[in-house]
Amino acid sequence: MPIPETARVACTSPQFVEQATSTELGDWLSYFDPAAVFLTGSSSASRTVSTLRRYLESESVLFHPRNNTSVSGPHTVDGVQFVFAPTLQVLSEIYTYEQSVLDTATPTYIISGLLDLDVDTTTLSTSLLGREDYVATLTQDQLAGDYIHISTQLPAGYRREWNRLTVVGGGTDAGTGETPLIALDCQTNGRVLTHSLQRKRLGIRAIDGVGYQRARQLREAGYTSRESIAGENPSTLAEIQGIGKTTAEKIQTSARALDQGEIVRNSQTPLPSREPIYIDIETDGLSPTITWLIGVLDGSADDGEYFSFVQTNPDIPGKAIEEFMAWYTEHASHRPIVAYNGWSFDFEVLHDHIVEYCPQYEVDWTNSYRFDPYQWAVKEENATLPGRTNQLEDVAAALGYEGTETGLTGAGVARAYQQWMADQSPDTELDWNRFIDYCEDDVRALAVIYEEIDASGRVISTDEPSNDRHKTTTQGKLSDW
Amino acid sequence: MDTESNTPKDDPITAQGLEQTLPEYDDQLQHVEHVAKKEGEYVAPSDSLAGELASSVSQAVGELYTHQATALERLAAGENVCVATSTSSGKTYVYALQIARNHLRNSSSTALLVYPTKALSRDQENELNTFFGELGLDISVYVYDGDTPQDRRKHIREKADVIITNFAGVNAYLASHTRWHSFFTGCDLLVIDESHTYTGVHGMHVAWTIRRLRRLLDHYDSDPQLICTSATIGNPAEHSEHLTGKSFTVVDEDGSPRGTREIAFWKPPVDETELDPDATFEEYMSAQTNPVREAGTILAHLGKNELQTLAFARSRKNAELGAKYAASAASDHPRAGYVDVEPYHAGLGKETRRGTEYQFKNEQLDGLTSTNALELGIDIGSVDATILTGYPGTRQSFWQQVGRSGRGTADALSVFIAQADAIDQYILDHPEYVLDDAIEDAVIGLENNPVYAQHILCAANEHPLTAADREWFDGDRLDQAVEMWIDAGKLAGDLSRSVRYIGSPRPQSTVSMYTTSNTQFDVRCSNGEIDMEPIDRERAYRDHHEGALFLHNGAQYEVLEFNEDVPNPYISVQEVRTNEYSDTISQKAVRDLDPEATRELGNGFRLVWGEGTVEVHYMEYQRKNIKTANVTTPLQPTGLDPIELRTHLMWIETPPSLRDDVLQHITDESSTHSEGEIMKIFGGGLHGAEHGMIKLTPLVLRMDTSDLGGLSTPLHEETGVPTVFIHDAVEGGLGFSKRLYEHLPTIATQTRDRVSQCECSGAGGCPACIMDSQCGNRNQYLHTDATVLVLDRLLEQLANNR
Repeated sequence: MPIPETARVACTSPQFVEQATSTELGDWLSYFDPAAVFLTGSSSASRTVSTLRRYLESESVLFHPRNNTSVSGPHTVDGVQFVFAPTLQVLSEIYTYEQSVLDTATPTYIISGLLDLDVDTTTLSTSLLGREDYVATLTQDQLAGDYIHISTQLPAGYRREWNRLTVVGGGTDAGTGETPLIALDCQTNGRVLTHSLQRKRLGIRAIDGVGYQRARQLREAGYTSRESIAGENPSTLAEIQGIGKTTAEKIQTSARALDQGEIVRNSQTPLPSREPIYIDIETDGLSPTITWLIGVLDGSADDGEYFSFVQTNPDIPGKAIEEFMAWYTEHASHRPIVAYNGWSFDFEVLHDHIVEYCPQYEVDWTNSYRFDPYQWAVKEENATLPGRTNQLEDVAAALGYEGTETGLTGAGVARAYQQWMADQSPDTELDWNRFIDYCEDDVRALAVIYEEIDASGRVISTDEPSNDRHKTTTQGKLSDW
Repeated sequence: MDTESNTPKDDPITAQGLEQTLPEYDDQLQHVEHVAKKEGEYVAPSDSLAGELASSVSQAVGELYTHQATALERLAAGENVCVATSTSSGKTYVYALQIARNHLRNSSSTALLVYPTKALSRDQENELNTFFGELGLDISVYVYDGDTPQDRRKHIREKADVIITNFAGVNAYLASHTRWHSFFTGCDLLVIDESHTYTGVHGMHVAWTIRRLRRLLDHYDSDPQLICTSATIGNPAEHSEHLTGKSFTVVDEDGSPRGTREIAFWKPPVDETELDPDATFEEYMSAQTNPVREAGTILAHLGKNELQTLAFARSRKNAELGAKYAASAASDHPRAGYVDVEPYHAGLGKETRRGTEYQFKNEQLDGLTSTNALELGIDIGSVDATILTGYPGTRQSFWQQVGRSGRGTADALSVFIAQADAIDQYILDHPEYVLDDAIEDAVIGLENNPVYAQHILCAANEHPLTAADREWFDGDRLDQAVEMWIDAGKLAGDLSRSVRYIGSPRPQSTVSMYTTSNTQFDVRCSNGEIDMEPIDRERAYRDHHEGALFLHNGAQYEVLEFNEDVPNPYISVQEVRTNEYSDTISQKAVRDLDPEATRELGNGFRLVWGEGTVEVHYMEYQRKNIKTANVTTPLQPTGLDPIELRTHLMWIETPPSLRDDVLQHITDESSTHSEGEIMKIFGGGLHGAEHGMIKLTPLVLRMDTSDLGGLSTPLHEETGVPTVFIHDAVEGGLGFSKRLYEHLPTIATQTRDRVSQCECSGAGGCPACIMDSQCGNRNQYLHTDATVLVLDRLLEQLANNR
């Protein structure tokens, strides 16, 4: 299947733009690297627009639903067709656009702030505010092309068919409070992938141990970038009021990891001595009822053997997991199972599903040795990882791993399987190999991180007695687990 | 303690004794109730329990009370049982013995016990473990709640035979039900302790949480038997069924013994001579001898007579004041001296409280003045006398407080001091109300959609919803909720296959067990900590606008900031000690009425229940001095926009002719009346009926008067006639207005009696009848005689249409 063309759009509330420091704004744009920016919200925000203009490249598209200087009408961005509709008026002209500039063979994204949700739990009904006028003006029946309607008034991740109107959320409130900043990858096949980033992962606040208060102290002392902190001596940082010696070291280490894309070890705690098997699972969402794909990498990131346990039939939800456990107990039961963020997701889900679908393996599972590099590095503070976030993709990318572009995200994968579960038909059937590849990409990324952690430990331990690692290895018995 | 005294110890321990010995007695004693001793009724354990268990129970506790035996028999027959008997009648043994029986039949049987408070949970954990130990049974009981350490949890889930928790916990734990599979698979018994406490908004949340729990238990092939233990309420069977969705057998023939006691109904003297007939609410309040001072006086007198006394107050401040008043009353006492009295409330440090408990238990103190913090669970031994400063709101609390007095076979005395409030005064007029059989109903408004909808999201998150789940979630209503959430992007799929949750993780964590809406205000305290649940939007607007003063757990707070336009709305408050209170002026309108049930009463009277929109604008507030009622801060805008509620209402439509009927009777003139007179007299009658009924509703329903609101008008736009509205105070309704619709004859009769018997002289009434501190119109206009007349006419029609 050809890889579709993609236009990356960053969505933010005006509030974020007004409150962010210039470092954060620059960092936000370099992280998402968008071809267009959508401002959400309902105020005209002309000041915000002019602030933002200063940070955007001149050819970047900036859309604001309530601003009359906003872009309007049809535009092609990175090969993807958009129609910007700050007013209803634009919708009435789409028919004309079809006659001139729009290619009706590929889907077009219509961007507006004209559709909003009203969830009325008192009457148990949800309405799409603005839909009547929108539909009446659009005259969909006369149009030849496929359209996806993105409204900046709707939350990120929203997607729903409203009587033939495909409505997608443009990230209202993005970047306010706990709601993350988002970017939408609008693809020529009509798919929209959503990426998100917490606001507090920008600028110097991306450094571990730097919150709102410390960021202010650091800025006041003249440190406005991660680079400037990475290059500073911890004892100089410790002279700043409110930053102690330990904190200064921690901050500097994290800044260095981020800035230079390397893993910095904080302890001598060794990794598991036995050769790991790397796994990643795909489910049907964050409250999963099925683990339908378990990808396993046996060996190194570069040339290890990858194989997977797939369950294409959702009506037999326990099959993949049962086969995986049969393989594991037969071939690998002494080896640690490594999953990234496993203690928060993979291990827990696998445990739940083993209990539910193949309880005969529960004891084998609970006796297995599971290792989560994320938990070990970040939560237990044994190492500082590079990457804007501690998410797998970000850390691996910072370490120089280049994955294969599959055009998928974790949430998208789960949603695709949900659609397949809800209605098994040729239309909804997954391109299984593409998903298996996606999963492989993640386990190899995981192996890269694990190997880098291992290598960083070896560098430090060159001063240590040379038999140290060997000793651990020979003592490693099943009972240790 | 005072050891000098030679006075015979038993002198003031009776109401008559108190009347004869209290210095400066001024006719306060209105009524004496003598509660006769009742012997316990017993049954041998072998009558209801099998062989070995019966003999070990005999050894451990002796005989069973009859109600315990009956409950055990019903349980053996497979029924769900609600045990509704008095406090400390041994309800715990009923489920403890059922657990024992289940365990003997199948040692992997488990039981889930849900208690309303964490404090109660720890006590019961010890008690049950001890009890099972005495029976020689290997049954392990553990508390599992927010305080349980993470590293203990797995062990408890997998090893416990009995788990004690609370419903906030159940709501959260259901998200990870697979962890509970072994416990849930073995679950044979679900116990809901103090089930009567689940009413109103909290009751709805608990009811839906129980359905979610039962649905998942069903998923693990468990269909546990249910036991509710309840205070004596009016509708135990119905309430248990609404709460759990199962039918129940009620066991309420109490077999436990009761000692002799006297209850003195006490009215603090009112200095009527100083009062103008047109006195305001505040003037009435200040003319009555402060009930707290009265409590201090009695406590001091009892203390001088070597009678240890526990006085209950309604607020922390009054608990503190009560102790001070007792000390000063003791020094004014004819036998001058001092008494040792300490205050007790949750605002005092833990160590202080433990110290006070210890001193009191060891009789180093003559008295305690306490908030209801001492009402439940805390062991301070028994005392000679109790004093109730004001009606504690429910009959159950009344008896709990009364029941604290009495040592062994000695006489016990309780003094109920009435406050200047309609309910307190009604009870002085009708002491039989607290003495007769229970009549307060516990209400759960399952029809509230906002609460229901939140639990549907949680249920979908716990396990995908299918058509079979209509059984748990009220039939077709589930389809409606699912469609709404699919449109909102929170659910996906359809019920014919499966509906899944796709919103942000852990919807359970956004459920606040005490509010209905998604817009809740967190409460932050700027000068200390405040332990307060988030507040619903409606309540925040009403009671917590900027500048408002409010009481919480007996402490006073001022609202500094009201912040709604942020993702997580909040109010910030500070604790204050002032002599002020705030008074908020509001405008209210009722529209878009949608009747769902109607009773034609004849002669143009009609009773309706249905839905409607209530719009309230809390516009301005002022502050006043508590004692003088002088304005200390002039009217200030609240800065709030009007707020709308779509909720349930009960309304009384009256014939237009009622207006002239009332005016003619009151003014003795048949000529035309001015607009002013119409508003003052007829409007005052309708308004008074509305206030009076709202104020007295807690006599028939377990609730707080702030759960209801009202509006009355000589001409309503939509009904076209004079109308009195009483509405539920939260979005989506609470079920209270519906009950009022059903119970109107009772509540109208009680209101009429109270207003007509009230001793106040002016037409505007007083706080003991129709004046209401929550009135948004500053109690204007009210008219007592017109109120009685309006209610008489209504009652005639109700009587004709039984």
